[in-house]
Amino acid sequence: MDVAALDAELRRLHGDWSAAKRLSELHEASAALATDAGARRFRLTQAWIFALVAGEEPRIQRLEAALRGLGGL
Amino acid sequence: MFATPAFAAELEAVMRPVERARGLPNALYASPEALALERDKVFHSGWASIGFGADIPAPGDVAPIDWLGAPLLMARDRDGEVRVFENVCRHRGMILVEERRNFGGVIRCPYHSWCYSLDGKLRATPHVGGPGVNRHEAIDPAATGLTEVRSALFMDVVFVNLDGKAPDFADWSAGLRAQIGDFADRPIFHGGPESGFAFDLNTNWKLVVENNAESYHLPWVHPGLSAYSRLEDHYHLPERGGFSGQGTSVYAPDYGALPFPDFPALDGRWATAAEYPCFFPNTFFAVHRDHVWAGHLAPRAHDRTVERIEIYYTTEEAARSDRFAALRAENAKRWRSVLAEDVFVTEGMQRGRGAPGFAGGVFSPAMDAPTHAFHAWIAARLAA
Repeated sequence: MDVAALDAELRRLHGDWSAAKRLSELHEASAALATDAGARRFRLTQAWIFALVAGEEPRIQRLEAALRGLGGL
Repeated sequence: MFATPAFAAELEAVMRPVERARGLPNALYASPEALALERDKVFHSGWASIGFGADIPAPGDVAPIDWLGAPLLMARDRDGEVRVFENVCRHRGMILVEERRNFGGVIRCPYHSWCYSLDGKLRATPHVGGPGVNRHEAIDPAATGLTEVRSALFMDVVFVNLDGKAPDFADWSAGLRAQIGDFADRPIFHGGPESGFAFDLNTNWKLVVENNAESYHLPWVHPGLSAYSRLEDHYHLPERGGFSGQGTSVYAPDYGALPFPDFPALDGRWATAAEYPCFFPNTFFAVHRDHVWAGHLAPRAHDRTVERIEIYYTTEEAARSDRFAALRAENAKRWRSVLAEDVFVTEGMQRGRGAPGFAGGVFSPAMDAPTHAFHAWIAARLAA
């Protein structure tokens, strides 16, 4: 998924908490595109909260491990 | 108004033996200050009902409740346990949940997205230590979970004690348990949406309790009911503390060829008896061998009360199956019809409290003992 498509879908789903699972996926994808650790950590945090809301346990655990690795948890 | 010797004397008059007692004074029905007083001295300092387990039937279900100004949240956790929390984020006090719903994951504060698990634990504090840093030494998650309120579940009614100082619920409800213990700890099954109904009444909450407590009015207000359950078939429930009410010795509903199944192994007296205890301050129960119901009163103002009724059955099949659907609908219709007949008296008594010459009224020692027991209980709470 390219940056423009990612940005467009994030904007479209903004505020739609019923789409928390998809928003978590999108934020995690955007984190992979981040060029510095701070930005990656910020986006992974967003992905983590949406995963918590969606109750996506495997994703939560993966994101928490990533955040711990970046000093975010 | 309520900190005067005159008011104390009025309460004392209520607490006399029924033969010489007066009813609660008009001011306790006709002024907003009365409800504020009762909030502190009756509702928040004792145990009071706030809703039903049936309001949150599935794990993850939550229901926000404004309980006389206190924002509460009933939640059913992943293990099926009902808990009650203050419905506010521990961060900046934002209301967490605005409407009844299910959470598949955490409960998220809509302000800064602090997240709580359904057992109240603080699960996430995003960016609390700066962008992308989700912890801070000043915030101890173990000490910053949702504030849990003392709660108890009895016959699927959810009770809370907000000030945390009331006796244990088991002690508080001991009298009621002694009266209807045959029903208290049995599994009961809610009949679904068609088995609940509500009345939004232009009356003070106490008048609904009073009316439900006594059978004196039955021949005049419920002529259909009295056709098979006469006044002389009714009896006052014994005074055991914390409740009053009435029973009948001729419970025999005509449900046709497919009656509801009875609770198994009930004491023989329940073959024809049914009882209707009002559990002070704002809950009532109805127990029959084949179904029970519970009523919850939510005071909205000194002159407005929402009365909710939820009906439960003895088996899952009786409560949920299509086989009993028509009978459940008929049963709910019958009870709604009976309780609707009470509306004009509860609302009429409220308007009557505007009469300057009415000083609480008097009681019939023979017929009004359950009503007086409730008045005396309220007076004692307010006088304490």
